Amino acid sequence: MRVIGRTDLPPTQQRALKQAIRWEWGTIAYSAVTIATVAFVVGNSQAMKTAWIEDMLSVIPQVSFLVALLFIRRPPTRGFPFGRHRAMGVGHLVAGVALFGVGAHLAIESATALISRQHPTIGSVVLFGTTVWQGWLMVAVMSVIVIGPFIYGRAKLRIAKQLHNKLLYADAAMARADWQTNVASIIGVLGVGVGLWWLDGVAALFISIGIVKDGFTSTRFAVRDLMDERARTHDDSAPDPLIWQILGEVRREPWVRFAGLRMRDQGQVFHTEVFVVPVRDKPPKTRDLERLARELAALDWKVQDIVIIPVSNLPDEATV
Amino acid sequence: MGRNRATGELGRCRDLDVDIPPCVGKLFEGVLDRQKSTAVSQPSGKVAAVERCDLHGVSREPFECAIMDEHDPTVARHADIGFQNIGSSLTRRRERRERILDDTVLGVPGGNEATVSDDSGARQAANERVLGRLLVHAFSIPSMASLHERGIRRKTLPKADRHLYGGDMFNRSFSAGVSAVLGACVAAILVGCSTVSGWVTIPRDPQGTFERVEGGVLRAGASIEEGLVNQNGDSVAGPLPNLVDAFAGDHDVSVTWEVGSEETLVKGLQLGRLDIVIGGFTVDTPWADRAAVTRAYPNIPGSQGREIVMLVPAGENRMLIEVESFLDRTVGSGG
Repeated sequence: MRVIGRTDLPPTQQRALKQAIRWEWGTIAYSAVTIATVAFVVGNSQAMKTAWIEDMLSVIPQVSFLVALLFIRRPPTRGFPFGRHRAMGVGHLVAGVALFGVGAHLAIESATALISRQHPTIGSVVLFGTTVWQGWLMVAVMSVIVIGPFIYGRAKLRIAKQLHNKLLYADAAMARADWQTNVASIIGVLGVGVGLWWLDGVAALFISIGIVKDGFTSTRFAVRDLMDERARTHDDSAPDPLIWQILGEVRREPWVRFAGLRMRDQGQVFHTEVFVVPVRDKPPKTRDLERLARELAALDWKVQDIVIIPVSNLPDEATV
Repeated sequence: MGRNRATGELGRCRDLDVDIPPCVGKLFEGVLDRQKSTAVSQPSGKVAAVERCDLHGVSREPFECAIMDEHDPTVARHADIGFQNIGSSLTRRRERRERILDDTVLGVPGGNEATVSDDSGARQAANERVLGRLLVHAFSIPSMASLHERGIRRKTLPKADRHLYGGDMFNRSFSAGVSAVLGACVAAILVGCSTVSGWVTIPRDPQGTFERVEGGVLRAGASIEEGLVNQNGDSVAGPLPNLVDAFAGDHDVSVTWEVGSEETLVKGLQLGRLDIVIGGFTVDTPWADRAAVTRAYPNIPGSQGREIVMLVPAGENRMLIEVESFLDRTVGSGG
């Protein structure tokens, strides 16, 4: 994929996008296998059940990424003059809300089980002619499948940065925290094994709170982006440095007296409105404006959509 | 951002300077003399300009620059400029320098931007107020990740600066805390296992059902189901009671029988009055959420193809798997 919307991706990003698609499909395949495997051992343990459902939920971000990709590659049209980059944000929001809702449901379920003192029953299975406690199988399965997220979580984190993709970032961050789920469910099962029946419910509660937290942060950041918050870095940790870079570039022009801008993140790419107060209130030449816009767009692949507006006073919110 | 305007802003700059030194560098202290500052003429001969600044390891990240009047601490001005301006255009382009100084003057006098326009009188007045000694502080806005590396957390930042970091999307201190808790849990379980009687068999019963049974008596409940559990005077007979008796024999314990309805017997399991319940229970038994259900055994005589299960108290996993492995041995795991 070479183009998203009106943006020609530079080679690094093209490569990253290809990798992202491959990793997302790979993750889906991996999750399918783990979901199927865990299904065999899930038994009566609330912690295992919660971990299992979390595995299923973890597919949502990947699916919404791949679906959103179908939309954002289309160029802007009259109907969608800004392109369809928001599809990524919508995907992010959907994933967040789903996580939040299901997480909350699971948390309530685990809490209820704990309060009503339901003792989890984990029986035995016959394996190669011997009777084995099912808990051992759960522990074994959970400790094997913990490996995957470490590998793809790291890879996706790197790609998310290159692509400036928050959905991918959230996905990767969740994968990186996935081991906690596995360890918690192992603890829950072992707890039941040594006769501490409540440890299963506590582990389940812990896992579901993790899901709720993921859902909440994802939803919050998705909503903020959809509400046109000032553009921030891919991990939402700080305003995007491009803001200052662009302003610096604009103010360097001899015909610019003051400059400000509004930059929003449409998901992957930015939409930038630059306000300039020209020197001596003289209207700038269209030639100059166009050249400046070209120069700004050359700064970074993310800022292809730039509008430069000469004004007599900078709007307050555009001053950085 | 509206930061370059009011009085409160200065405090913010100072906070930054004091509280998070790693991301702040004093960019410039009014050192430039008059000859180099061609931009504005002024009585004191000192003006902020940036030729001589030393970036002291301030990274190439964009930064904000606060220009303050040392004599009048109510006055502060952020010039939002990028590194490149300092490095290249500012030093090379005179027009640019003029403008920066204009900006400085502009924002300074109480944020009265109206005076800025082209009214040279007002501007002159402004210049005279501002230009004494100027301090130029610059601070980069480093990424959250680089703050973390220096051990700075969002919550340790001065309140006014937290907005710069809308919150780490998935912060790591949470993960660290979680790891600690999980580690503690594992340790606790292992300690729990190894105390008391050395390595305890897993699983154990939370209520100790199996241990009590091994102590001498298996309290069994039976609900009559012709062909499987038959009434035999006061006691019961049939394939299922025989299995229970054999199970008790395996562990050298005696059996006491209670005959009753399914509900009474299940209640008995819940209250800890019974250790095992038999009857016409199949794999689809509706009692599954009140009691622990064994795996299904289709090969029991008299079951007529039904997949028969037995009930033990919920969550008593040792008891459950002891019964299951006994049944696996005697009637086969079916399957």
